[in-house]
Amino acid sequence: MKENDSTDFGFKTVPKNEKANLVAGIFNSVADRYDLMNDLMSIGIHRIWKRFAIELSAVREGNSVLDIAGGTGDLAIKFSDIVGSDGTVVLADINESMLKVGRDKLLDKCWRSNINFVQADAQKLPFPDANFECITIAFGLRNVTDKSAALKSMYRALKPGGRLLILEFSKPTNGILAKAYDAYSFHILPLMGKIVANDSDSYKYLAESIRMHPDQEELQILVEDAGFSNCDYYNMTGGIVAIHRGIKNPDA
Amino acid sequence: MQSIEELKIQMLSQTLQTAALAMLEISMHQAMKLDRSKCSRLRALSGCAFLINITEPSLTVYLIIDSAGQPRLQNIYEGEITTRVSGTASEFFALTLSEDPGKELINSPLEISGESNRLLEISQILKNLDLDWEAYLTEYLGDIASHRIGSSVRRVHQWNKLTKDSLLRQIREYIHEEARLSPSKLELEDFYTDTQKLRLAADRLDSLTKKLRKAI
Ligand SMILES: C[S@@+](CC[C@H](N)C(=O)[O-])C[C@H]1O[C@@H](n2cnc3c(N)ncnc32)[C@H](O)[C@@H]1O
Repeated sequence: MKENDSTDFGFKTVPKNEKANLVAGIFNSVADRYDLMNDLMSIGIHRIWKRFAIELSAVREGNSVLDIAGGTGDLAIKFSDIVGSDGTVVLADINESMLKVGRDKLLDKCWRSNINFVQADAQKLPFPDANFECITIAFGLRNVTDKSAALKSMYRALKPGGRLLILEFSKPTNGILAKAYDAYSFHILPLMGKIVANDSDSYKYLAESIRMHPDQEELQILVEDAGFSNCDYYNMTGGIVAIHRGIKNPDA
Repeated sequence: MQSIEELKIQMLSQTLQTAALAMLEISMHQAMKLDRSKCSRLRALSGCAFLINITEPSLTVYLIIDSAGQPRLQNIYEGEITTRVSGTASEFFALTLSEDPGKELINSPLEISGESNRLLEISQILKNLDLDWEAYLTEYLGDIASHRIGSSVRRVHQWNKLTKDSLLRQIREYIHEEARLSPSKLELEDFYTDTQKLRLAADRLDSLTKKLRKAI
């Protein structure tokens, strides 16, 4: 396999054109228990990370927001309340099973009519240019085969001055924490996956894909290379998670 | 090298502050549900944003009244500020204890800029909510504040003793509140059964961490 035809899938190297299918397999298999596992794995802290990301988004009433790789809709629900009836939220995901769980959950909660559901690939967003004030991608970029293509596609779909927020696992900033975290993710996570979801492989992939994902600085460079300015990032919980932010040039 | 204690604090500070604000916000919403009259008074303040700046220990919180008249608490806010109020923790503390926060505001050393009428209005509404502000200030925000005071080891230890239980409780409560709203009840029941099963896994994690600590 040639270098540029292959990509990572966890610790494995696979042909580029196969990664999307493999990722789809994972999310088809975890969709039903996804929310539950999220709470267990992070002892619920993912909710706090998401809340902080929403604060950083500076989304306001009347805005139009895209949550790509939005899965089961945690961010979309919050945005829906913030933008109100004059705004819109698009919950988009490549995976039908995840989108279905999200839609059912929102139906349960009587979501406002300002949320639309779209099956879409982050690398080729099916939206007009300059369409959103804000685009978020939470724990999704890691799974995308061509991250640069995805970032460029998001840049295109953002309005000038609009902002991108990436919430993603990153690199713990401290050695002790990193070791404990490794032990946790390679031993405990797959075990939990096995007990709760009867699926240790998917959670093994989760741990591996986190290690393969670019660290804080590397990801910031990718974001800048896609055209964004004023890029910065916030570490949360010791860098286990980082929130990257980039702005589309207001004169673009 | 950093001590484990310092590390824990550094690692949790942002997370903790966000969790504490989230919990307080949920309590405010619950208290408002019990008192409809407050809702319409709050709706009149829709769109207002108050910056609460505690200088000592340093802590900034934004109180925003959204379009539905719901109060929101945030660490970060980039919109326009209606009123800023700034002072030490004890000055704010006095405000929450006062019977008449309006009068207290005018006479207190707190620095106010922007629309003070709105600030008076919001403090009266909040004061009359069925919430134990004093307890919140000491227990929730105090946690964060006390660690911001300084990072000398002694203080860190104190802080750690003070917060260990309440931090875990806060996070647990917050998740419980949020989770109650999100997955279906059935899932939630599974969640608790599963949690039991997970005790085993947690025990293993514990011994692993202990081993790790010995190794480093
Ligand atoms: C770990 S989940 C995150 C879900 C949600 N954002 C959250 O934070 O809970 C990752 C999601 O990314 C989606 N995904 C993977 N590759 C994608 C792509 N190329 N385009 C859009 N979504 C993708 C998956 O289907 C999955 O729902």
